[in-house]
Amino acid sequence: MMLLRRHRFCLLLLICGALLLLCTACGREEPVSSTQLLLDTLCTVKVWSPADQELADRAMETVADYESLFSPSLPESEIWKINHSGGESVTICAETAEMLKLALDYCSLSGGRFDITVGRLSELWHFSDGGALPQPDAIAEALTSVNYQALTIGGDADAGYTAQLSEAGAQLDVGAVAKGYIADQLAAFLRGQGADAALIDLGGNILTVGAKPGGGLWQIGIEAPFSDRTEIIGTLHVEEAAVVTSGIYQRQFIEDGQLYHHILDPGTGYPAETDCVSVTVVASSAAAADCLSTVALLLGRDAGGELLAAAEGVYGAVWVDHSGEIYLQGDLDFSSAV
Amino acid sequence: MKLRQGEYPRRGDALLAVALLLPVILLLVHFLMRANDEGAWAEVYSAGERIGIYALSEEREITVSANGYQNIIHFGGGQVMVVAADCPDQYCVRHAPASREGETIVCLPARLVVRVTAGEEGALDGIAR
Repeated sequence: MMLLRRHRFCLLLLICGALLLLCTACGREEPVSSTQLLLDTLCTVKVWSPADQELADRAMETVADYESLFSPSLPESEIWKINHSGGESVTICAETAEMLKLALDYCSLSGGRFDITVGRLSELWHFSDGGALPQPDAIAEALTSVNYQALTIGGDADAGYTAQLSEAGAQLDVGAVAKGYIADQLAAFLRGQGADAALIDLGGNILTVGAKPGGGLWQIGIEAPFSDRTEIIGTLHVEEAAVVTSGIYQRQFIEDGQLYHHILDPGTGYPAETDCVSVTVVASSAAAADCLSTVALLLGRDAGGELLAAAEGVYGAVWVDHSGEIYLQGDLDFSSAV
Repeated sequence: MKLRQGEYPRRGDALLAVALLLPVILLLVHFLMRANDEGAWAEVYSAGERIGIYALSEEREITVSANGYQNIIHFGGGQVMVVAADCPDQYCVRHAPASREGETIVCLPARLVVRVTAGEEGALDGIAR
């Protein structure tokens, strides 16, 4: 006891030093990461535990594999084959079948306001090349092929799957579901490989895997609309969750003072008129968050909010209206930056 | 707490404290120095290949050509930006200068990625866009 008292001063200093070192070390837990331009966007996978570069690279190869299945512009992809099948049935793999079935569920849930057969219409607008206002008759003509009910997914795991687009000239646009679906598959892959903590970022579609290393919650910012990707409106503090934003500022162009954005209304063929500029959905699944964020934005805050409230696995949403007002829905831990 | 004369900390205690704290301080200095050494840099990837890493503190301009397009990238003043490009969408040119760790500027047509790898450390794990 005397010894302890005698060295109390030294012990105190030692403890302080150790704590200081611990804090420094904890703050610097580094992940390994892999980044590539895939899915027409920047994709990053970070893995903390185990910090295995080969695992991160293999995860990114998985993204490339899915791109080769889902890309509408790669002639060997299954989506390309469906789009160019001329109404014939096409053999597809289980993953494509699962992704398309999921998309059809959301088409149905939205009463057709969200429709994955808008491929021809999307092409007309050239948003990936900076955007161009199509001729009204071209839009009217493309609209005749928009009908998600023309897509049939048949077969099963034993016999194999098929997809058939019966509407002449219809084309699929899986842009609002593919990234989310792939993120979920990637998370399953990483968990299967023993990863305890990872972050998947497919062009701003975020999915966290496991608990944040070093404790606390994952900090996910939400990009401020029209801020040139440099400002955030606030930060979501989440456990394991998907955070996906749909916004009318993401791919857009201005012509004659009018803003034209990439979220098209399948009813009119023109960019959807919405009461909000963005909605960020927080959900247990990235596919659900991806699809539902688009559906919610198309429906607007009232109808979209009701849909989100009733949807399974949705924790909440952050809405931003045209005046920049932020509305929180659900039980979210959100700190505003504005 | 007032110490009586002759009570601790004695010289031996002080020496012991220094001996214990010295490695901790050295380690801390090492961590901080390492962080500062990293400074602010930007990695430039073209068509999937890393073509260089550039300090954001030094004024420099490079031209990168790939996939039939050309981008002119400016480094300096603690930030990096694409100042000119002949890509059709011009998203890379419209992107505001990047300076925070993890921030990226992308030109999809030119298959160009500019990523800030160190510098002002971002507190965020990701940004939903």
